[in-house]
Amino acid sequence: MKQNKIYLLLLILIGAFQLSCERDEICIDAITPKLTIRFYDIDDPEIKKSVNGLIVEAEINEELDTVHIQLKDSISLPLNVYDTQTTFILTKNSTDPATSNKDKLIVTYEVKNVFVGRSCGYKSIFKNVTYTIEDVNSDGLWIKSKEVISEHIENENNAHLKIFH
Amino acid sequence: MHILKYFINAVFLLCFSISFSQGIGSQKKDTVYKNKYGLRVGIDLYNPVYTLIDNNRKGLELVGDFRISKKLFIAAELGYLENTTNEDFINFTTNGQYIKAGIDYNAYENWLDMENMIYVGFRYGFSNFSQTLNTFTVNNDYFFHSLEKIETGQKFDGLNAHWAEFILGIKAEVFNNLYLGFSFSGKKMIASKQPENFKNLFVPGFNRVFLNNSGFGINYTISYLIPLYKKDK
Repeated sequence: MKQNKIYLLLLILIGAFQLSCERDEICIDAITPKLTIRFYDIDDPEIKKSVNGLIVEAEINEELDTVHIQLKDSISLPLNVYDTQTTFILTKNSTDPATSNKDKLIVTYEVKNVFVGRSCGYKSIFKNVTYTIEDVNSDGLWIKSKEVISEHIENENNAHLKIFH
Repeated sequence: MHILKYFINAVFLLCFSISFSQGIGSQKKDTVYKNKYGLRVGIDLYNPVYTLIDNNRKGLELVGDFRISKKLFIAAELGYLENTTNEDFINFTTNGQYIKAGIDYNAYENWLDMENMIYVGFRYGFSNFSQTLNTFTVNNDYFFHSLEKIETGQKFDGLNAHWAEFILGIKAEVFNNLYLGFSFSGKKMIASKQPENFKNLFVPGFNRVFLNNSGFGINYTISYLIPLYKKDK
């Protein structure tokens, strides 16, 4: 009888121990970095120039989904880590059908998974990133030129691509 | 008398914290009581009981100590453990063996010829293990949530760890030569061979490795003393 009580006590102690276990880490580290693009004036390449009525869409499973952007002169775009390529459609003057112009930006890269920690798990970084710009709807390119700042996307501290328009 | 002893021992186990804080001291007696010396061997009950509740942890630990003086015991533990940890983005299984060796110091003054212990201990621990990353999902932007897939990881072999342990515990002789024990241990990692692009987040014998390289554990042991001789001190 006394032994039963001892075992009961042992079980209660195990239960108390289980309750006292808590997470020691919260995922606050930066996760997979986004592609950061800054827009500059083609006539004066030192000056940032926002894109009027800019809308960005990305292809997911051959369908377009709008990427939420805040600024019009500097944007951060998520890249698809489950593929080696992400296609974006950048639309200028989206509010005016007469002057609206769509250009396609194809980003290709190698994905590398990097361990972050217990609570964050793995993030991806992108190596050997290349950019291709194509016209959509045969209305000419509004993107006049581009300049690659960094071949690898490992963090969001700096812009990775400059676009001149 | 024997029943009384048994009762005191059981109460000792149940209420050690109270008796500890009230400090039951030794009583001067005319008779000299001899202490039992020998090899005490047993098993840890924590992991077998844990397996019944949660099948993600399977293990067994053998414990042993050998008395070298009235208050000092050489102690060692030998065990293996297979443990699966499930976090938000990763699931991995740790598999390995460990050994711990050190000393226990009995800080408790026994009544009569009783052999109970409230002790502090120190251990050096070593473990040899593998980590298998079963699955992981890349912590990606929510935008591509619909494409999210669970990826299969890899196995990391030939890992090891060294650590130091500080132990607080009790042991009570519930029957002649049969002991039940409970102990709590705080651990600190000394060195660890880490896997590439992963981390030893769990180590057999050390348990969960917290962010500051510390850990803790509890043991419930049942052990039997093989008496070899008696001495009066």
